Amino acid sequence: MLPFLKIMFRNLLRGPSTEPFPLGPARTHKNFRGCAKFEPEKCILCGICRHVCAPGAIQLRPSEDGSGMEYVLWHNSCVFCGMCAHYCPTGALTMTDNWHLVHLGAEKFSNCIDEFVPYDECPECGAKIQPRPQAIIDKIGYRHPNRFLLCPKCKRESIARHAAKVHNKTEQAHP
Amino acid sequence: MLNLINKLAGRSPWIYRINAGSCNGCDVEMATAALIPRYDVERLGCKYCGSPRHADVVLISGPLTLRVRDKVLRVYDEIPHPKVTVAVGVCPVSGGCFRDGYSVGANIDHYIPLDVIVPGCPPRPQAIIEGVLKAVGVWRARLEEGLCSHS
Amino acid sequence: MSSILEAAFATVVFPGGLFALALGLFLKGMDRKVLARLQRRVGPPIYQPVIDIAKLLTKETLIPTTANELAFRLAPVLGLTGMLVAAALMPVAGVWNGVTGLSDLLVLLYLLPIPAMGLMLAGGASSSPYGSLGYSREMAVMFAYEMPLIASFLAVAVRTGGAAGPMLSLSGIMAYQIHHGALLLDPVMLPAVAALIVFIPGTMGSGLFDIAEAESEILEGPLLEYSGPLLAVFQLMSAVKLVVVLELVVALLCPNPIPGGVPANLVWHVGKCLLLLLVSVTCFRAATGRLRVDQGFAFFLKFTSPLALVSLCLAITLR
Repeated sequence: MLPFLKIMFRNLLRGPSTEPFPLGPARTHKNFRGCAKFEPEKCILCGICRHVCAPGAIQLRPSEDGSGMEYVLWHNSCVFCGMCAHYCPTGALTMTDNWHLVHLGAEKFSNCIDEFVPYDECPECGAKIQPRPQAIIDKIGYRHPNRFLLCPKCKRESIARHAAKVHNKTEQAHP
Repeated sequence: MLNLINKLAGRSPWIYRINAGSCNGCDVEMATAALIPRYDVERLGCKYCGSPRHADVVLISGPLTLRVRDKVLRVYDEIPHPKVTVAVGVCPVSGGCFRDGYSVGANIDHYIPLDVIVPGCPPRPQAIIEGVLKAVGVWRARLEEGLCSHS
Repeated sequence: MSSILEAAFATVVFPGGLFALALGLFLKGMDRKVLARLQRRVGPPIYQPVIDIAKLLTKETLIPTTANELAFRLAPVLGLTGMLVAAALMPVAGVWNGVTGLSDLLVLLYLLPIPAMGLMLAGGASSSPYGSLGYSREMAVMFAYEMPLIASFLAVAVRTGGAAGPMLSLSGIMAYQIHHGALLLDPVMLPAVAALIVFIPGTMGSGLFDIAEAESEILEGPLLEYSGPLLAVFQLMSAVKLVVVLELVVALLCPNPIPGGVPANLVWHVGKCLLLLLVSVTCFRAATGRLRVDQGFAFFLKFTSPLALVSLCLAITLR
């Protein structure tokens, strides 16, 4: 009878179960998905993050002088779904457990990741190409690292030269 | 005396929630922050009140759908000065997932000045508490300004 | 001349006026703190009601354009004044014997509904549908709890008056109990004790009887349109009302002083009020939800009124 009396008495004895948060540190689970983190030196400007972003929080804008791209991720639009980090081929985008994003209304447009990712230059012709950081070389360019760094045009030429060389060799061996 | 009252006032922020067409995610987090002993906002003097007339801090969630826009503005006008607005979640600022929808009037900033923004989809209760504390800071500053202009 | 000074002192400083306000705010703070502890929360500081009132003084007062402004402004003042007068009549055992030679029980019967009247006036004047709902609910609940209140008052009066007819003076009731022992322990009065203890949450609108100011249901009903200093006056009113109701029940049931002079008795008095508050309001509020209007009405008619009437009949037959 009257089980609530027992519960109230027990609650009184056990004391509060309140977290100390605003006055002390808050507990955050290690798998907590907070805001995204961006490392521009790993980015290859493939744009898959922009493509999969449901709320359209990510923008890639060519810079005016043509030397690279502005990478902008607006935290005030991001829904923390983590798709960008999931699809990022080089791990340039990762999700952190940081949730301290509260800011004043006047600062709403500065609450973003705003990084400049410069283009690489083709080692042969000097044309502007998407960056080729070590992360992507390790992933898909490890068989011909030198050729992987070239611009598409030079790469085609390089492949054609290679093919011609192989062809000539086989012709000499089996005329 | 007025200074003392001003100082005390910041320790009793009464909270009112406006749902501007939210998906209810942020509302659940706000209710969590209010009701669960683990977060206990009453310790900071907060009280969730049912009437906009009693409110000091307004929590707005949702992308301001066109259907609800006029009602939100009406309720917002009912709140006595000085009031502080907190946008909970990303919807009021940018529209979040609903941006560019046919019925979404997002960026509430066009209609109501947002003083504090708590990004997240939804933000966790601790983040909402952090936002309320920041709003109290804004409110204190506003109270002091008001006093200066009166005297 | 001295009687006028004494009356002024009683109204402004003790036991009405400042003392009642301070005690009321303290009791409200304790109520919130203990409620929080019962729910495993830390809870606000005990002086939180004072902060709330200071805060409300800084706010703007908005008056709806469709409201009757005079009644709107008058309602909280009316309620607070009525309660301050009632608080001045309250005896504090061993410190202040109350007004002697007056049928103040009858006066209190008229003074006690004044806060409810204020709320009804507020609900009616604010011209809001929720205010009107709160108005009708307040009235329904008031009719429901007046009945057991009057019956238990009469039971106490008949029991203490004995053969000489009902004793309608609080100081007389106190003197009887100091002489014959507290009515709280009188088996004849037990049903009336239960009725009076249920009456406290009923009139304060807490727990089961949070009907008229249901916050989540009709948005605080009559208080919906109030803001700023006027709302602060309502808060003070409810604080003083709490003091009046608790002191009244203490005076009716267990006013016995303890030896040790004025300070000890003052602490004893506050302690009794606090204990009564924790039992009848805080624990009650922590454990129960809200009843519907008709259920609340039926509760008082079915359970509380018969209890008080049983006591009254017993007191009359055993006179």
